[in-house]
Amino acid sequence: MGSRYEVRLSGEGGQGLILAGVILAEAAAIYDDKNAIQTQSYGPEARGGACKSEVIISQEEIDYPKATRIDLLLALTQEACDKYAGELKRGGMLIVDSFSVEKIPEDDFRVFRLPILETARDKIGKSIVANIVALGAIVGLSGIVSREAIEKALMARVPKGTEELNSLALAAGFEIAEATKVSKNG
Amino acid sequence: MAQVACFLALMQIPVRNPWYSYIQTKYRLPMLLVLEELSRLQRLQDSFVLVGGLSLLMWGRLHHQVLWDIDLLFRDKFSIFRFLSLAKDPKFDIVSMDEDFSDSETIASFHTAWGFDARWINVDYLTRSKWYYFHKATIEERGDFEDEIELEGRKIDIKLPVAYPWDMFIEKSLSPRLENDLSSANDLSYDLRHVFILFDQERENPEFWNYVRKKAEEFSRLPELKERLLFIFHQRESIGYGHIVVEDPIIRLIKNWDH
Repeated sequence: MGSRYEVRLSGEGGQGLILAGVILAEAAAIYDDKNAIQTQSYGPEARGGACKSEVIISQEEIDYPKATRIDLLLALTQEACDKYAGELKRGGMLIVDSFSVEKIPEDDFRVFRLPILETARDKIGKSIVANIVALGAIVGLSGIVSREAIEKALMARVPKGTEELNSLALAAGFEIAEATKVSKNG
Repeated sequence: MAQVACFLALMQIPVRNPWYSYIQTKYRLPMLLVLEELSRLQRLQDSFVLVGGLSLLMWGRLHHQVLWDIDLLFRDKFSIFRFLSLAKDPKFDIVSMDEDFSDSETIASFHTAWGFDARWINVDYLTRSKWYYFHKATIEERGDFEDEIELEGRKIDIKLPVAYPWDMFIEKSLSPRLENDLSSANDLSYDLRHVFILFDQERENPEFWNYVRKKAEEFSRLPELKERLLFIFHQRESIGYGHIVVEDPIIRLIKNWDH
């Protein structure tokens, strides 16, 4: 990772992407002693229910808080992928949900198709944790924060009694990331 | 401050860390300086109230560390435009994060980031129907939040209209966002977390329950609040708060609210 790493999480409203961005930023800033800013910004597309959340993480000072050259894009819907894939920088990482996103534009970035929504629904048993599965996958593939930091940031936010479920969701995200890394290398 | 702490320790009164100690170290000075600047701007234009999780932190109700945002609830959109045009202290870099206002049925918002020494604080400008007046009424009666803080060799004065915790309990309980969180069983909901924290702190306080009932009634939202609270308590297991005990007398008290 260079001094500045830009992440955009995109999908539909209600998929918990803003919270995922907050947890990622807190992992970086509070538990990994990096600098981070998380923002959600809305343009006219917000009226259609679309949502995006951005996180900038840096070992050094962040001179500008808006994403300008995205290193990692998570797209949980086809619409999000269509809209934002073109803003990935060369060699960047595109993570998409393998069920919801069928068409990927051809360009110079690495593509990871992961069963994020299916994992949340079928393996964890709760669709609402798709954002946590996605977080595990993002950290597993990119290493932008440590695994320990993302676990601590998540546990700091969950109510007592739900630690196990949310931990499982995060771990499931790490697993699908690992599985896709192995299949790409194998 | 040290003398006060010693005195309290001698009297065996628990010494809480000051509210700003729950702001992560590298963001503490920037956050306090932004709040001081907002205090100055508020004297020029009295048209906003500080709400959200930070209001609860400032009033000593929250004791955990997260990346805190500043949520400013304005009287109306025109007030936001006027605020945007006010000259801000040049020591801050201020970046608009939105191209335009984001409007939904229930809220209009505009997001900015204020930077000091390249540390960024989110400052969000919101309007939500009559909620500004809801909070402002209590603040006019009870007073602004005030604090004088010394940090890193600076003396920082904060005097701001900050929403009171009991009012935040009502607002959060009634928020459309919380309604969505309940329907999707979102155990990571900020609003539910704050509602349950405040409930746990105030459960045995009759003054709290009297206040909540009276205020909701004045705001013509009592039947709705009653229904919402009963639902929240009934559903608490499925939303991750099964460990919170809700005694029968509390349920009965709420059920009897409009009798």
